[in-house]
Amino acid sequence: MISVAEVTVSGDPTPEEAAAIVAAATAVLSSAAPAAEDPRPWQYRSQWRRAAIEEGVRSVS
Amino acid sequence: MSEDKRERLQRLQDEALHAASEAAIERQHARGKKTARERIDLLLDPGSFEELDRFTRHRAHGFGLENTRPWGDGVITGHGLIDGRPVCVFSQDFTVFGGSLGEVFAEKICKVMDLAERMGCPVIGINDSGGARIQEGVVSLAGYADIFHRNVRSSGVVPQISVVMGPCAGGAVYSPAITDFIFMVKETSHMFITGPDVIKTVTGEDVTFEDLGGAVTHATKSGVAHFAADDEEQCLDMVRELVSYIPQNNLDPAPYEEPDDDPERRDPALATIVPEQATKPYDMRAVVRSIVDDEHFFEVAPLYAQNIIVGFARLNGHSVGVVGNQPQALAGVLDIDASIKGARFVRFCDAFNIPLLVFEDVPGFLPGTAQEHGGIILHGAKLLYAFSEATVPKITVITRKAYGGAYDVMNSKHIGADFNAAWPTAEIAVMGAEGAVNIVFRKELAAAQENGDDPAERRTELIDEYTERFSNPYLAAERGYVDAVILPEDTRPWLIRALELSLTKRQNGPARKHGNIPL
Repeated sequence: MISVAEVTVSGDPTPEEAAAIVAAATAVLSSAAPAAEDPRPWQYRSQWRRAAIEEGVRSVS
Repeated sequence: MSEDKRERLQRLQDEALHAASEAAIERQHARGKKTARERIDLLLDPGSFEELDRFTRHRAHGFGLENTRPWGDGVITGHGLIDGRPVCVFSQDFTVFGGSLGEVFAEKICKVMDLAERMGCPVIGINDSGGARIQEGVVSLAGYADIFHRNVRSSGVVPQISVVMGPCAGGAVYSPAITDFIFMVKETSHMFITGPDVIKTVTGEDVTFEDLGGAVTHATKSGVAHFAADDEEQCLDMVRELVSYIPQNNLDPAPYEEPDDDPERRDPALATIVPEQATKPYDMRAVVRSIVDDEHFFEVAPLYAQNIIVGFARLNGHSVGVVGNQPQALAGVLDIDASIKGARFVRFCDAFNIPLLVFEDVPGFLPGTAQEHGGIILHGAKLLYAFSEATVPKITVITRKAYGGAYDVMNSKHIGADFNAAWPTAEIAVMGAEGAVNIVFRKELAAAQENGDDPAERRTELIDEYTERFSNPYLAAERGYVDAVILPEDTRPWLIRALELSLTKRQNGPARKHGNIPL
């Protein structure tokens, strides 16, 4: 797992542009990082199970 | 902020926190009861309670009410945590207006119920009320109905728990009745539609409060109460334990708890727990305990319809609902009370995504005019309906008898069980050997009698023959009605594998508004 990433901005951006590029790159890297580990077994993160539960709850008026 | 404003808030807070007189609090304690706030403190994680609507007051006039307007209006509402998970709470305060329910009192309860429904968390109501606030008239009745309506709306959406810690009489009982679980305290809590005085006037019967609607009565005779605690501390501890097994709402899975128990643990004592003699009883609780995590089974309604056991446990950390026939009581037969008790529990588990484990040893339905005239046809169908409609993982272990229609009812493969196993001691048949021989060989036995032969000897031979041929699990296994015949000591690992595969079960039926369970 990558915990630290170095962002190098090449070219000749203005300081504002460089800051924006770094912020965007950091956001992308952090969104791609794995979420905090869920200690529960895999079934609790299963999309199939999530769908089963949602399908089981039918709205009634 | 000026010091004046700070002091004013502090003064009002103090007034609200001490809305009851010292004398009223002393009377409450003298009855062995705690105050509404003391109960909340015992129920929730320390320091987690956030009160709502502390400064509400009634707006009623007449009968001198306008001269007495205590802060909070006799009910404390808010939210807090149980083992770190949020719950909404209301606690009726008998020390203020006798906990009587008026317009604002009801509005506060409705508001916290609405909050629980929006946020998807359980709602726990502590009841200790003298009933409707008569001075407020029909407005009080409207308040009750507003609460009932919300109880129904929230049913199957968020868990609802009622804790009765004082009087709960008349129409007021219908709020707890709709909720999922009712806790009572021996000697100090009572529930009834009409009290002893009215009963004496109308029917001439003499009955005490405790015999009419005490915790023991409702936990043993009526089945209204699921739990009867010795005191309030024990009661609120039990509520906390119940919450540990159930999810926050109908879209969440039940809580998972990291297990300490070995999933491969095999208890050799299970191999001998079922007596050789088919008519001898044994304790199905012992079977359940030896299989589930840490041998801990949190039984629901243990004193009512004891021929069926229901409750919660964990299996390799997963919360499960357990249903079992109890050979120690009425030979584990299904009767009206057992069917209703089982069905309601199954439906709770299904509504809240809690897998079902069934331990089956059932000789059939209880015969007799009392049962037939009492509607066993209708009530027995409730259990059948509940198991059939449940879409949560459903797993059955047949330990001994699985006879007749009761075999079908007890979560058989045919009504949608996902995994079924039988122990080698299982007898899956239309009925027991003796009964079957009496019917099938009636003419032969009669002829033996007429011919001067020994019908008893012939009968014994036929019973042995029938037992050898039919009283086993293998005819059902031949047809796939049971998935496996397993050694008793292998049950825990087998169940865990079946459960963990079933946790991602997905099953859809046809769309409908709701089914029509035979109520």
